[in-house]
Amino acid sequence: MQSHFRFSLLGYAFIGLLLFAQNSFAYPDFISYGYKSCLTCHYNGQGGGALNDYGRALFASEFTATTFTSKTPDQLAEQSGFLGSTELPWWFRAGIKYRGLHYRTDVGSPRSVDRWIDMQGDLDLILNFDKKSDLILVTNYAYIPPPARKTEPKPSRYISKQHYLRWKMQKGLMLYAGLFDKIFGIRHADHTAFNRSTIGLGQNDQSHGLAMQYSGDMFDVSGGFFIGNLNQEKELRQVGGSVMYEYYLDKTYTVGFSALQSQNDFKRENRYAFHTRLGFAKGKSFMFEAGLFDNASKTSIEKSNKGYYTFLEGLIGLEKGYNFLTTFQTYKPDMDSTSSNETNKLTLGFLIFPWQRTEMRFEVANVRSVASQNTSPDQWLLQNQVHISW
Amino acid sequence: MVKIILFFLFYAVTSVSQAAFLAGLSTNSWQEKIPVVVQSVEQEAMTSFSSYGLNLGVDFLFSTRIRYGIMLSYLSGKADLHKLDNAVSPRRNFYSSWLTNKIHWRVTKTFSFGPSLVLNYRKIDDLDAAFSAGGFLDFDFDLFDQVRLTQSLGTMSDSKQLAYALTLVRRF
Repeated sequence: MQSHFRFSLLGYAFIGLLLFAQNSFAYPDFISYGYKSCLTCHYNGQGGGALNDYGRALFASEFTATTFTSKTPDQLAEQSGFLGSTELPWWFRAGIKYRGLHYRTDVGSPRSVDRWIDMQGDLDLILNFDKKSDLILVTNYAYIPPPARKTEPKPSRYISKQHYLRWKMQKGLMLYAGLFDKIFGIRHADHTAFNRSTIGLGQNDQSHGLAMQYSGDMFDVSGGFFIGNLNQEKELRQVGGSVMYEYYLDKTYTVGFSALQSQNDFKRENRYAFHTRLGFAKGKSFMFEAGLFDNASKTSIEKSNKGYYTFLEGLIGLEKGYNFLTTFQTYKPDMDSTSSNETNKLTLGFLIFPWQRTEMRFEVANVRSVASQNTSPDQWLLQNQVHISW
Repeated sequence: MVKIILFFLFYAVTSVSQAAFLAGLSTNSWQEKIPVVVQSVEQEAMTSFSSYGLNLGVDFLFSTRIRYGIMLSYLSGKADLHKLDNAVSPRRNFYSSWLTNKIHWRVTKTFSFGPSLVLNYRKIDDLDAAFSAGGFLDFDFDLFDQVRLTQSLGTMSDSKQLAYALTLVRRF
């Protein structure tokens, strides 16, 4: 067994902050508390990225465990700002986010490997051009870890993953222009999930573009066009558009669909998905997404490659700040090939917000892959994460 | 066999007042060892079973906290032998009948859990039918008044490998 723990300077700095950390995270699972729209807590109406003031206060007061504090929810909310209870000037907001992962592969096997990855280190700066935040500029400077595969000798680097203008044109109507995540499906924290990583919606797959979002009382609809990430070489940029519609059947129950089409010089991508989110009791929810994708090669002979995925996640609140987390995912990269592997991934674990600004995850994962004449024994993984949002 | 089970279900429902029918769908995955012949030598090979199923059952409420359930599931899917040296292991179709017995303790209004025992009768394409058994721990989530999602985790037969199922049922 090989043990390998690697911290960047940024990692050490954030671990230091852990001692004084407070929580600020927002997940689509929290529909079980009645929060259907991502816009409630995030600057980006599709979720992800920096939290707004309300989101910070909400997570500090409503979702964090009170095991290690004697402060009241109101006190916790008041101290949820970037400088604690000291308020920043109205025109400026800031946020820092770190995510670290310890994982162990092939649990119980002599080939087992331990590794630490600094998955994410983001600095978010937000400029408000007016006191109502009708026009804001969201910018980001992010650490990108080196690829896990050693065959790709890329070093870690720093880039801007998001920078966009958000204009609130009228109540419920938002316009976004700049670099941000593509609109598609349920955007949740696990960027390695089959409904994100396998269809080009990972944590570093943002694209420059223009998008609009309308949030009504009963529905939320978003759509946009994107021209690829301008930091990429031109021929690699995926240019296209996407749309997502979500209908609120109840305060804690939504159904929706998404579609995305794009292409570059080498590949044409189509994605279609159905999703639903259900909070069946306070703090208890399930989310489900099922999607079809088609990656068609444009070089030489055009070859269509159709696959599917499903994603189910249950977040079951046990006590304030302590949750049971389970996911079940399936993925088949090529439906037309009999030799194509079908992979199931089942995870069980806990998601904990022990104190403000901090999240911890402890999960065990079983990966079962079957294919005609190519079926292997299961793989077991341990995954422990620490997330810090300041 | 089926007649006996149906008779038992009918008898149980009519003799216990606090009973409800269940019907739904499931996806099941488990592993078992099955006999194969490799270069004229018979040996047991680990096999992954992946299937979808139709489920019919009955729930009996003994108290507000304790529930007993019996479910008959018809599963159909694919059986894949794990890679063996010098062996050809084409994918085979199979069907299977699961008889599940479980006792559940309701923890909250929407969550209950408990052990379940599964009796499995399976038939793989070109192999003889066989019985096996498994033990599971079931977690029930009442998503709506009449709709329940069950996550089952356990092991089947002597495989010592993870077996799991997700079952979505409606109560009638």
